Amino acid sequence: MALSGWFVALLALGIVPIVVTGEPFVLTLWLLFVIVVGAIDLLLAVSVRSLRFERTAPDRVRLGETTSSTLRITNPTRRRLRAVVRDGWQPSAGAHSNRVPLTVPSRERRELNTVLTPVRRGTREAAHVTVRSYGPLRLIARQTTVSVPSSFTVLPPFNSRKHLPSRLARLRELDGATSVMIRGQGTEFDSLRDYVRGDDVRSIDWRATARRSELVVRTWRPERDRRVVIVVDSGRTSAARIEDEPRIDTAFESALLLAALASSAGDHVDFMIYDRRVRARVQGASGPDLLSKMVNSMAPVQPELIEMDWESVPGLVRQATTQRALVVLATTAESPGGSLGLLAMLPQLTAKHTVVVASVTDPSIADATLDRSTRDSVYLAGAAERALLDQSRVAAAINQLGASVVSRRPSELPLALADHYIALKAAGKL
Amino acid sequence: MSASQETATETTVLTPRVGTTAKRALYWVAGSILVVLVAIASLNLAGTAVEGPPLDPTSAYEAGTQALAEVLRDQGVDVVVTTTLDDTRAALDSSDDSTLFFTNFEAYLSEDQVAEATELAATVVFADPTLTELLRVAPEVAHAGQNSDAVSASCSAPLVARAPDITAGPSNYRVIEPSADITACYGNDDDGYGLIVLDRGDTELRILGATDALSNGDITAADNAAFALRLLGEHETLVWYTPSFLDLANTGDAKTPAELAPGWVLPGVWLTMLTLLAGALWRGRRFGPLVIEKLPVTVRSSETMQGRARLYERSTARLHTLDSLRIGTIRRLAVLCGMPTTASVDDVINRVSPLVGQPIEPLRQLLIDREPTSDHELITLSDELLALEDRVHAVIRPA
Repeated sequence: MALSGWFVALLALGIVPIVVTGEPFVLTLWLLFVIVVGAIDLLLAVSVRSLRFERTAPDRVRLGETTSSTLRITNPTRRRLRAVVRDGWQPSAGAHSNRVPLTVPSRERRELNTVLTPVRRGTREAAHVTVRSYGPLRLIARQTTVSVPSSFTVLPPFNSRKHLPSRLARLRELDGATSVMIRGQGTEFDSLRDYVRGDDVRSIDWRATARRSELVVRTWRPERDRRVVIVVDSGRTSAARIEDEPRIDTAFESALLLAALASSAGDHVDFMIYDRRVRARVQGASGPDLLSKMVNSMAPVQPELIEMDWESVPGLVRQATTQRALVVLATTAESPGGSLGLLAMLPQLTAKHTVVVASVTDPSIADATLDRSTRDSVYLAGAAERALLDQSRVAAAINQLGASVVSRRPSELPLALADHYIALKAAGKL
Repeated sequence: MSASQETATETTVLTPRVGTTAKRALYWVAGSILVVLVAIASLNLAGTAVEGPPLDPTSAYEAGTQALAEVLRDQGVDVVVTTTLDDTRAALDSSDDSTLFFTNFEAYLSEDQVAEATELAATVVFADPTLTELLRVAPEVAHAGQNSDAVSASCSAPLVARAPDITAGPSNYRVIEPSADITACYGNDDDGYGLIVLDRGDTELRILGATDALSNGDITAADNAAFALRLLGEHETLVWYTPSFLDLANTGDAKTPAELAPGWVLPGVWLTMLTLLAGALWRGRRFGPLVIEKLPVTVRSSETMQGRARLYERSTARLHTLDSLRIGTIRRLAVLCGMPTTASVDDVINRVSPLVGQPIEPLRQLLIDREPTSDHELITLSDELLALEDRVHAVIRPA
């Protein structure tokens, strides 16, 4: 049961007869009147238990996009339903209006659209529908909650896909497929073609030129069918929020951009999320299938407050591929203490693979080193310098072990990692 | 992302029916009623721990006087307990031979009412009068403070002949205009008396300060019992008047606010309160249960750095802080000058010195040797480091 503002107003209206007559017993009469009218109104309200509910939820949506779910309410009774309906979505499902007035005539059905703009990745759920069914006078309502569960998946946004065309163009340049005459830097001999002004003279194949009496250049193409293994750390350091984005989300963005790039460059991508157990794994997929499998596997994964188990990572990589591969470890390389496990494991990987450690750095640390205005900020600047020194020491140690480090702020990391991949590919180091 | 899923056509109602709610509530309602009943019963059986009012002839507590009243009844005195002045007047009218005992320590009676009471019977015992009451009914007598020692009769009135020693207190009174009609008994060294008898012709007014002697607690001590029986048991009837709040209504013609206000005010206030209650129910009713959401863990990334900064600050690790700043500056200078980050400090100083036109020694002092002894010095040095970086930057990459 729920009272309405009209009921309160009706009750307050009783002051008029009381003042006019000046008799105390009028209060009792008025209260009796209000209660009787309210009770009749309540009895005339449609029982929510007799209604039928159906909800249609979207299957999946990218984070940041807007979708909508539909709630169909059927009124099989003989009375008209006058109600306010609350569609019970989780707060992070981002329902725009979840208290909607609705009138359903007798034996009819109405649709209720709830516009959803989810604010968090993962599975967003709706648990129930609450209906306040008012009587014809709208004084008192029957309020009932009905369980109508449904859910949809919010995928990672992949905002960095806007960089994809430009990087793909770079790849095609490497491939020699574009009209821009850049000699492919790869090691695989591709074909011979006529010399065009602008080509590198060093690539002229003199023997072929002699045969054809026209200048002929040799082209190479970058290697294809290489393996790329991306391992995302979902341990406790990935829970840290930098520039309002958890590290793991930045890692997902980087992994998606790299995977999109690598798969269109003809490489095979294996992807896994790991802390102490495999949280998600995508193997043997290619093309558009790869990206959709990746976003689906990423969607429900949240970092856990446990230490990353680096010792098992070489084994995981071995399961993915026995060939030489580019292994990308998306993790945090900030403090020597926290990176001990990573550093101890790296030699096993670098012995066989090309290893890149992608790490998100906090730009606020660099900002803190410049603020020397107060006593507190000088001490903070000292601590920040120490943190930067730690970072560079870890990076140096990783470099010494034969891996390379890409560390950037969250907005720049995906692009930097993609560029690093293109550079490796161009240099034929895969 | 257009694929959709349909769910739940079968209705599962989460809100319990009214009957179910009532059944669930029954246990608690019955339980609370039982608890209240038990509480009331036990309070009635055990009685409250609160002391009853003093000088109450129906009270069996230490300060009450039930013992005295009962003994007087046994002795054939008709003890009438009254609580209003009107009842008192009626009780005294119905009997000629009577004593009135009253006290006004809770100040229910006005001065006029006290004055009226003192003239109602042949013998009036006025216990514990206050200063202002005395001014009105017996200006010859004044209050003489508090004293609770045992005192002896010190007068020859027949009233006290059998009770030479009683418990005095709590109050004492003093005669300020002595005359033949005034007898003062049970005096102490300070001219304070526990009982003063004023003979007013048709009324004998006894001003009693030594009321402790009448109480259940002390009635058996010294000669208290003899004194009390003699004081109150002289006549056939004893009217024991304990003023109550019922006496208040008779104070005068002034109307209460309730009488002055128009008839609709009280119901209007009630209606307002009910409206407020209904408004609270209207706004406060929750629109269905909350939908539970599991929130992900979030860690602030700069926490380690800030913790370390606080640690430096608390332990005033100035040199350590400055060294961190110096290392940062030296690394940046090395990069600016095109040297590897692993370049030694001396190399950096040698390179920077001609660039900024500064001799090597002060640069060495700034970058290596000087030790800050105060926070002020630390801040100055850190500012100098920044200034040096800015100068080198300006020389190498002019804007």
